[in-house]
Parts: sequence; structure tokens; C-alpha cells
Amino acid sequence: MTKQEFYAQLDEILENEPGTIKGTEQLADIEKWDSMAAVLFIAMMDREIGITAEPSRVAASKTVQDLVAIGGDKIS
Amino acid sequence: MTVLPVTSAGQLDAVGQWLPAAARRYGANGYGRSLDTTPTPDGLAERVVGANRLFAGMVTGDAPGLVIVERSPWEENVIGRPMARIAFLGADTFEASVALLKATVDVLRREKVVLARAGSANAPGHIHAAYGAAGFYVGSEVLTLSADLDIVWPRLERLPDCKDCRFATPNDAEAMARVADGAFGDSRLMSDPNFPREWGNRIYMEWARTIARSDEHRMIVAEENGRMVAFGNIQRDVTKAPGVPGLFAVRPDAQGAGIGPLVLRRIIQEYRDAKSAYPLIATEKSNSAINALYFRLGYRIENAHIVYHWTPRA
Repeated sequence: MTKQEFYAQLDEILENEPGTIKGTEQLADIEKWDSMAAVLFIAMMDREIGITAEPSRVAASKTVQDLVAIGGDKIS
Repeated sequence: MTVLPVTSAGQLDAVGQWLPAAARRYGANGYGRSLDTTPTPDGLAERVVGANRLFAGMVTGDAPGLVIVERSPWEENVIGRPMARIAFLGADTFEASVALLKATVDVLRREKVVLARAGSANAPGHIHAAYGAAGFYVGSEVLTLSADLDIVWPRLERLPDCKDCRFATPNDAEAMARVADGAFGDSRLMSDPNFPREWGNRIYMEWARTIARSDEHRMIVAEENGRMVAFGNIQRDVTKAPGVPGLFAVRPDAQGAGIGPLVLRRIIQEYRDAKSAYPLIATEKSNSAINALYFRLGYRIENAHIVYHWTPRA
């Protein structure tokens, strides 16, 4: 998955207009980034990339890039 | 203004003409489907002589009023200290309200009550002012939320089913108490500076144990790596309307990772499967994280009321 595709997945999770997430955001500044978004993110990672994102790592993430890092080399 | 102690139901005849309308005006809490049971004169008369009655007082004449104060035996058993609640306060003037509440405070002090609470119901402004004048203060604001499940469910359905959720059994009581431990930090019983936090925490932990063993409620629990991390309770008979999930908690160290929505999805699925149309949720306004989730799903405020506290330390 490319980073742009990853950001598009985040937009869908957050019910944003496509192209809203640019990759530079702090999660605390994203209004709809909450526990519901977190579980949708975990489900997306499993479905789209085949990675089991640890809930604790998701909860500890502060930025969109932290979320990208959970995907490791599966997000380029 | 003289407050007459009331020790028998017959004494209420002195305010008998005033009482029916007063019971509705001062006792009703909410509107429409969020309306709590509005007291009746007979119901108030029963409470005046009820087993939990701590004090009842009335003012007669041109400006009648009645206060009924009850012990809170369940909480008392948990913390080993007297607790009380104002079951009814109705008076047509500020002065009568204050007189009744000051008489109440005298009893609370004499009985060494450590915390008394009072719900504001739909009370007019002079009642609120009287609570303040008598030494009560705002402990919390309680919200009753409601939503159409046809709106809520499609949003929850986006989430995966909670694979690690199951119904609790009585054997889970201690695990649930561990989840409750520290999970209600902003609630009125744990953030009132005049009430020891440790006592409030004990009450929530025992509440969780009690629900685990209850015949009336069922609890959905979620586990991670064999450790219970969250719970939410629903009435055992979800076809009774309204259904009110009464206690919902995620371990502080498990928050923020989505377990709360998964448990909620399972709870709402239960209501939906039972064709219950509109489960209500009672929550304190300070429960920011879970309230944000409720509103995101489509819940709206159906009722709100203030809970006043009195403590000897305030």
C-alpha cells in the first residue's frame, strides 16, 4: 500500500472528504480520531495489509506518521 | 418559619390540597419517554414512613413545603459510613425551601452523614437557589441520552464484531471490580473534593461486583490476552423500555484503542436483536470520552438534571 492509499483509508475511516489527510497531522488535532476510529483503523490494517495492529500501539500513537509506522515496510 | 417533623403519613393531610400538584411540579424528572416516575401523594406518604427514611419535614400555611430524606443503605454498606439522599423536596417559596433544607442539614450533621445527594428534577429556580443557600453544591450533571437504533446501528456496524467479548458470569465479579478500579475518575463520587476519592472508587468497584451477580442485569465483558479490560451492562430483559446501560468502563490502561466501541457494538446489537427501539443511556456530563462516542453515533440529550452534594466538610 502506498502512503497516499493509506491516507485515503484514514479519510474513509474519519468520514472526511477525500484528500483531507495529508500525513502531517497530529492525531489530537483530528476531531474524529477517537476510540471508534482506532478500532476501524485496526480492522483496516488487518483487512488491507494483513497486519495485526496492537491496540496499545495505536493508543500510544500521536501522529499520522506513527500510524504509518505501524504498517512497517508494507506502507511505502 | 417552622419546619414540622413528619413521622406519620397522616400528618401530610395538612398539605393534602397542595401535595398532588406539588408532587408533579417538584418530583417529575424529564419529559416524554425520559420521564422518571413522577411521585404521587400516596407514594410520598409511603416514603415518609419507609424503612430507609432518615428525616421528613414540612412547612404548612400559605407557603407549604415537604422534604423527605432517605438513607442510602447500599452505599453505606460499601464504605461503612452514613450516606443519604433527598428523595423529595418541594416548596413554593425560596424561604420555605431553605428552611426545609436547613432542617435537613441539622439532621445530616447529627447523623454524621458523610455525603448527601439530591437530584434537581425539573425543579424551578428557587429550589436550585435554596440548595445553594443551605450549603449544597453541584456534584455533577447527569444526562439521559437517546437515539434511534436505525441511526446508531449502521454506524456501529462498520466496526468488526468483538471477538473477545462475552457475557459475564458471577465468577467474573472480581475481574470486573478490577476494571472499575480507577475507571470513573471524573465522576461525581471520585472528583468531589469533599468526599474521599477512595470511598467513591470502592463504591464503583462494588457496583461492578453487584451487577456481575445480579439477576436483573447482564454484563458484556471484553478481554485482551486473557485479562478483562472492559465491561458494559444491559438490562436482562432488553425488551423493557427504556433500557439503560448502567455501568460502562474500560480499564484506564486499555483506553483509546477502540475496545469501548466494540463493547458498545455488542450491547446495541443485543438491544437491536430484541427489537428494543430506543435504549436510553444515563451518563455524567464529565464522562467526556464515552459521551463523545455516544454523540458520534447519533445519540442526543433527552434529559439533564443536576445532582447536588452536601458534605460536612464543605
